[in-house]
Amino acid sequence: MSTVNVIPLKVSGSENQIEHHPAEIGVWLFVFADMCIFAMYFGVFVWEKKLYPAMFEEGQETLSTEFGGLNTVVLLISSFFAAKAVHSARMLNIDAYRRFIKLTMLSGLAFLCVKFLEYSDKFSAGFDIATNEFYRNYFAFTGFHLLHVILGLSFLGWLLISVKTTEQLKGNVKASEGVGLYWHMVDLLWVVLFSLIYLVP
Amino acid sequence: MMPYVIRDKLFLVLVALLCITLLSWLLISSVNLEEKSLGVMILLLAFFKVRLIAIHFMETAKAQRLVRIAFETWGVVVGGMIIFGYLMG
Repeated sequence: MSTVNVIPLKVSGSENQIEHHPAEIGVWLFVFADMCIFAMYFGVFVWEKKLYPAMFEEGQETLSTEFGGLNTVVLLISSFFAAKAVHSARMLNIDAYRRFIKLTMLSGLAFLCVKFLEYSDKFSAGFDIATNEFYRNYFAFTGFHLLHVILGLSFLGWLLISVKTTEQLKGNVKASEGVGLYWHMVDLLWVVLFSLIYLVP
Repeated sequence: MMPYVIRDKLFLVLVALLCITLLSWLLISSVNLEEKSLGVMILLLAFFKVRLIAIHFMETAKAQRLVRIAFETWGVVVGGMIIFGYLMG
């Protein structure tokens, strides 16, 4: 039914069950390394917040929790669509697969639009990366995350272009799992970023 | 349609994630708590969401053992580091 690798797993000493490991180990390593880089960013943010508490409090008050919250909802929904796309890939359901990839991309594009509005709002209010330490962190971290969203959208676009038939889907189940994994990481990192930068007083 | 949606585990996870997001938002906007307690609660909710995403969307539960350990460790270490740093600030 599927060309994905399966690994036999011995259960209860007698019964054999087929366990499927999602995505290639290399993709997991890449994703984990990226998460560790972001972990250092989180550490830097907390450290600088400790050094400049008043500046960070003032800076946070200028942020829009509405934009940030909306983008959190958008990314969570997009992650759900990505998970459904991976599920459809395993079922070799090409119609559902392509529909969910498109929905994931649409949600990602919605994230970009909200981010564009948010950044425009900040620039027009006179804030930029050189304003102070808070805004340096805000633009650096959210900007780096934004690059990840754009890269994820490129991967999804590549899947949409290259997988049009069930035959093509058969050979791209692992690739779809890898792209899905990357997209979930983008979502997961935003969840922490949003709480840390926009919400935590 | 509705019974199918209710049986869909991924959809239920999405609903849980959205409810936790709403809860964090409500905590910030309406609950009158001491600042540090509020901050810690929001961070704990965020890392609970991280775990839900990792287990159910990324499927770490079905991944190799090393992957599961690495992701659980990341959550504990990074979450712990942020909360510790925040409380020390």
